[in-house]
Amino acid sequence: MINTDITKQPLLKNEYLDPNQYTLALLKEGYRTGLIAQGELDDIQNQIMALLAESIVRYTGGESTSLKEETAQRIMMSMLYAIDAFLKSLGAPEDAIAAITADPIKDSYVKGLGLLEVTFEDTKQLYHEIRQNKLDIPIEAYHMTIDELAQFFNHYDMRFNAQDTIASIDYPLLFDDMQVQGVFYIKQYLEKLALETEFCRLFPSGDIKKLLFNYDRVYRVNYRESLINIFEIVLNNAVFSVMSGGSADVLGITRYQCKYLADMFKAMDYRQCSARISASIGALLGELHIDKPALRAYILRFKTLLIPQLLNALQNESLEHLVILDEPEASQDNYIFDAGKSMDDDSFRSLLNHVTDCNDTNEKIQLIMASIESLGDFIDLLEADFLYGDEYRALFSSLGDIELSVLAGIVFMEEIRSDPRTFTLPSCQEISREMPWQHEYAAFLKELGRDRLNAIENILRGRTF
Amino acid sequence: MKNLLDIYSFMGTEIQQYSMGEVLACNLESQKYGLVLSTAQAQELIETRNRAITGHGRVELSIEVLKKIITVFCTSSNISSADYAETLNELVDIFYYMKNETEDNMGDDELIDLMKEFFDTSCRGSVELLKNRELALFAQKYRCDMQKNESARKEQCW
Repeated sequence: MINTDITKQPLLKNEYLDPNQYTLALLKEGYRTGLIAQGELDDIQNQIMALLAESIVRYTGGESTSLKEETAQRIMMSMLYAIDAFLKSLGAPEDAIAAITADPIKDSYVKGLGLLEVTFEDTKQLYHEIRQNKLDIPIEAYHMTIDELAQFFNHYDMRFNAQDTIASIDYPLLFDDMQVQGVFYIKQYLEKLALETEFCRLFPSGDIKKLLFNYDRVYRVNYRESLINIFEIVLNNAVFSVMSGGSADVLGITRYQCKYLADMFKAMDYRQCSARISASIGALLGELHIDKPALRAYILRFKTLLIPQLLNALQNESLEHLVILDEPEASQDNYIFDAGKSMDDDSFRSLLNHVTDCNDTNEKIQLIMASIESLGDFIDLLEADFLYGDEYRALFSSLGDIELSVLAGIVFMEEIRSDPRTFTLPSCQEISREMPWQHEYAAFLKELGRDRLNAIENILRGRTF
Repeated sequence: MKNLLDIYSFMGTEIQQYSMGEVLACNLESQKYGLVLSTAQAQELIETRNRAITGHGRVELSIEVLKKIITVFCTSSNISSADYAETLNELVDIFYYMKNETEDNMGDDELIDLMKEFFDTSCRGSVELLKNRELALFAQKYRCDMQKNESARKEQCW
């Protein structure tokens, strides 16, 4: 027998195996490569349908043999979600194919349900730990998201709706994976939130609050009401602190340090910038004694986000938008989103009544601009649906680039979170929006020139990405 | 390769193959009342059932309801052999319509028994009265009661 070094290439291509529809992808890919024969495929489909029929009877308590199509599809997706869980746990796709062709599909389903049960309990435990270990940072979205996640654990239905995430999650992670669904989404969300919290706990909460206060000043927002990621802002400044010769545990960066950084990067090409960032992140990990592999890997991923942001900031000479400086601002521009100035409920209702009564668009806009000072009130007013067509355009026209970037961060939140690297404002304008004001906002952006859009996008990138 | 998530394609092919025999087997019971379905009528009834399910946006992976409608209604003195097949076709469609109208909160047996009760009493064998009067009124009241119960439940939660 001739001995060769040639290794057998796997027939199954991982790029065709969508982890979020694993069983279906496995069947298609198995069939394509001949690992699953037509007869086996038909048999598996029949078994899935028999399992669905069984689940329908269980769902209706044996009282009905039929269901609305959407309910049946939901139950089917739930079954496949559980089967996916088991097949993915086997590791190699060839082993997963062997499991579904050799054993009844019901076995995979039952084992998958068992895995969901264990994952659910582990995730619940993690949730309790996170809830007890919340950061003392007054960001509404952060606290509300953690509090409202309790609903997930109260209502999760792993047998008939396992793929549903059923939770209101507004607080953005630095690296979320929104392709994942159900309990596995919540698990990855909480695991990452735990890592982010662990890192933030290395800094006194007073220092973080001060940094966020400076963040408010730079971006003219109220951080308490904003959908910002605390971890990113803290890590960002800690890395720049190291890069500018400071300590990793110091979040305050002076204008002098920022100038030093700008001068330093000016003389560097892309490769040198990248190397400098890598070295600084490495130094930060050592200085803060971060040994946990998961946290180290999470922090190291930050480099992929930071490099394009840095290059963008250098190109636009706006490094002070990326590095949050610790200094009071001398001049105060006129902007509408300010911290801590929300209207009380009576005043807000009264404003809505006045806006409704007012027939002149300009007067209406002046009234709003003169009365509203907080982002929360502004969004509430937009969501109250009290404006029509051109009135939206007039209102948005009265805003500056910073305010418009804040609104873009809200309107395009899903797109930014799902893939920040490919996000651009023009690419998202065609996507339909649920709320009328968001639809009008996207239409308003379409009418803006390229330079203005770039300016808004640059601020948005510096603030959110 | 078939679309693995297309439940309807499965219903249209696999189920039809064995359901004909099951429907015809119901003749054993119905012939006691002088009512019998021919093969063509049984085939038409299955097609009506399939159309009713898809038309009302539903999914069913067995033929049990159809068999139950046959065996329950064949005892009615208001059905003659001349209009037996046509009546069954209409009852099948009404059944799936009512499953949606009652938002899946009524069990199959409960609904079929209710239909039979109306059909034999206040409707005197008229499927038009059954659908457009008795069941329409019933569905309206049923949904209203469900809403009231839901509101009461929410109030209790608060």
